[in-house]
Amino acid sequence: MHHGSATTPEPGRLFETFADGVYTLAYRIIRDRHLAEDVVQETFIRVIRSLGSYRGDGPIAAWIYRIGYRQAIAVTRRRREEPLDPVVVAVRIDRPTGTVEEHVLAGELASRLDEAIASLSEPVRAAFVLRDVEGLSTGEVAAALDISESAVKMRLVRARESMRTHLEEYLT
Amino acid sequence: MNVNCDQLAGLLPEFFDGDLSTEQSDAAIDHLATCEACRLTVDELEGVRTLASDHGRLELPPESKDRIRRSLEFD
Repeated sequence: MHHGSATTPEPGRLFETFADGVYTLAYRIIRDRHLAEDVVQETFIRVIRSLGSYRGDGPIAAWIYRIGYRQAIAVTRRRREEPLDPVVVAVRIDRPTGTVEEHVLAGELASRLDEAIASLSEPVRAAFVLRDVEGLSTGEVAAALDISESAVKMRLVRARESMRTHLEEYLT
Repeated sequence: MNVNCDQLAGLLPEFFDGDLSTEQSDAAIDHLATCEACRLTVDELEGVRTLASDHGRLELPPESKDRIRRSLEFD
């Protein structure tokens, strides 16, 4: 999904557009549902506060994900320094379609995908989630992570190769 | 322009982004037409991208979304 840019973004609309994406990024980095929800809230508090200084000359998706990414990284650093609370895993929202067998297979695939993404190093994971899960362009990912496009491409090569190994049985 | 397997691997990020020049793209396609190993690699990497985009996204639970909406005074 390419979110494009907007010159007069409205906060409520930005929330509806990007809340799930920021949650996905935060959860994939932190792997704790409650902390990821806190990141979403804090991200949009900052988005609202800083909207006046957003110049509208770059992709707004990259700007929002950049705020979310920094929040998520700050949480993981704090968590390393503090005693751990029990991790609360994300509840996947299953849609009531398909047979029971299809649901079981989809659940297995989702678990394997979760494990495979979690096995990536954090910088590689962030690039993969933004590019291949959230569908940002390579340029937007570079802006969100504050790295060069060539660095994004290098991380994506490593991510996709690792994911390919982890998910081999689902790819043939 | 011809590419070998190693050169094709180096072009894959731009290949997936659709950012190759016409010449590079033609060379990549020509190589894939004759190299089964590279074709399998590209198919599997495409599969990774499809799995990630189709199944990697999470949804903020509705009750949490409502709570955050209220806290941000969007309601």
